[in-house]
Amino acid sequence: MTGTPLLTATDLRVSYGAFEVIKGVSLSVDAGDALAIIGPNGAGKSTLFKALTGEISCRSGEVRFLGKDVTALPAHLRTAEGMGRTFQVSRVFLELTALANVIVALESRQRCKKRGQGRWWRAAPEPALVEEAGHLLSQLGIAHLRHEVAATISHGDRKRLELALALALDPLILMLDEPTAGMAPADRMHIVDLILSIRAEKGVAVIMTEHDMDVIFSISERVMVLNYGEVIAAGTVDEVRNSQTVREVYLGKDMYHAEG
Amino acid sequence: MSEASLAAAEGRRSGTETRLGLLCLAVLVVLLFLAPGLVNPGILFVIGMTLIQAVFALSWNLLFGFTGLASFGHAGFFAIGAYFTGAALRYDFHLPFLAVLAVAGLLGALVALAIGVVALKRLTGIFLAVLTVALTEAMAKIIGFSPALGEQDGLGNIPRPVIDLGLFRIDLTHGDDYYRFLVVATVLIVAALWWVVHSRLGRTFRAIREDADRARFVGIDVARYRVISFMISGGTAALAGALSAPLTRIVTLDQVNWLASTQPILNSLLGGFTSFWGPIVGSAAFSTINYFTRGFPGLSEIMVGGILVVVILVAPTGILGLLGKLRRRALGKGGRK
Repeated sequence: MTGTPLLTATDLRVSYGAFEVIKGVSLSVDAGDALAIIGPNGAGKSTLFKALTGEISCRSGEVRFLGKDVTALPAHLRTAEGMGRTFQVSRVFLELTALANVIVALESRQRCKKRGQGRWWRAAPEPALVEEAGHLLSQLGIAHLRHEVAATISHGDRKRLELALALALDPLILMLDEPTAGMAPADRMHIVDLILSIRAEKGVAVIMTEHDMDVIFSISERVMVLNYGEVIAAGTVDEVRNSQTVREVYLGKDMYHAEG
Repeated sequence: MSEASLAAAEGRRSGTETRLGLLCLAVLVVLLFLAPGLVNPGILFVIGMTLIQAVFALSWNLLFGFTGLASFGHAGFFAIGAYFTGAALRYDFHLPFLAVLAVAGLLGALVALAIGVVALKRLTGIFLAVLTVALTEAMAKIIGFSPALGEQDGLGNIPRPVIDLGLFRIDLTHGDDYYRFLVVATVLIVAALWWVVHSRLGRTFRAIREDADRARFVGIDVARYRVISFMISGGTAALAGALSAPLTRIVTLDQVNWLASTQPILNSLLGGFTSFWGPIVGSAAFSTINYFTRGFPGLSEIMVGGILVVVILVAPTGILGLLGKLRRRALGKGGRK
């Protein structure tokens, strides 16, 4: 491990019109780290995510990835650099089959890495890529769905497919926006196991937002709490769990004092 | 599911079906070649125009069906090709005919590039639709005031070309020779577009159509590939226009108005925009309807309108979508495998 952190954000500020949603957030993630960003609805978690991935531009502040300033870089170039992302409501290429979804991502990776395509005149995807796509699908436990059109597969399996899309580009960091939102508890734990095994196998760093505390505690070592666009607490899981401010935000001030 | 899925690439369609499809195509091409000996010149002209409309519709559907962009002023590109070729032949630009076609296609692509660069970030939805309509209307006005382009009367007396390949000359000025050339050109253009749609490039286009944000997050430069699609589409539409000028031997403002822009849209929707072959089937169906209702002024418009309403309400995926559904039912699968 070198001294440079994988991803840093310094004093990020994001506004929607006159309304400042992110008010000077800083964070740092090392290679292989797992950071969870939590906070009540409307705290700015998703906006912070968008600022980190390049979907929206910041009013001020700086995002660095691998020591390089990426603040002005559009989303697709940040992705090419190694930032993978999934969405709160999973997004895949609905009319394409699961296999074709991953093939599209793998072909994009070839382009991003400036790796030439052998025999470009052949219309069909390269056999090596088809094989790799199939392998990735089986890694995520959805190999049996390879020829199913994405629109017809279940919510949980679509989340897995979306993870496959993100992983296809060999990311150094995975940004997961509520990876288990809207899933049944059993399915949740499957996704958690999946994320844990991906981390163990590929050493990918993870930043995620999540509401389910069990999921957070099983994946992340560190937690950052956001409220009204500000970081109100950050540290290890235990530190944050015992923080008085966090309890106040989550339980309400009065309730906390009444409990006492 | 749509033919547009990667079925073919994954070999999901059985080998027999592919072979059967190829056989049908081959028979069709042979019939098109023999057509001058089989039908009267009137029908031959209709077939020629159908080939051109098919290429035009395919160019529009590359945008709509495969990249998720809608151009409502596509006649502008067609007219660029038609007027350029018309002028090149009539005023004799001293360019070989194949070069004239290439330049016409290139002009269409360059105009698309210019629009794309200006509107790079907004090359979607209603913005592109309005922009293309506006530019096409502006072009019609400019042509209407250009004496060299025939103003309101159109550019007439366009001679048919002679292709000089150095070693030998192909004279297309007599009889049905130009028609035969048109068949060859159409087959080549359709083959090229088929390749585009089914290649890595086509898969990228489709990913953008499905979800542009997701495409960005697999590293695809969405704006760039939208412009590329727009350029291929504009270039092909111009090529269709270029091929039309020597066939009709006159280019008029009727080819630049909004009605002309709706033709490829109607053809694609009628045939089925989710399939590569849909626009071709739609063009053929449309020409057939027009031909058989030609004796009743006004009836063809009503028929066309009525058929479109039926298509949109009953079979939004067009003739091919309907046939696919019937085929699956006949195979007793009830739905998708």
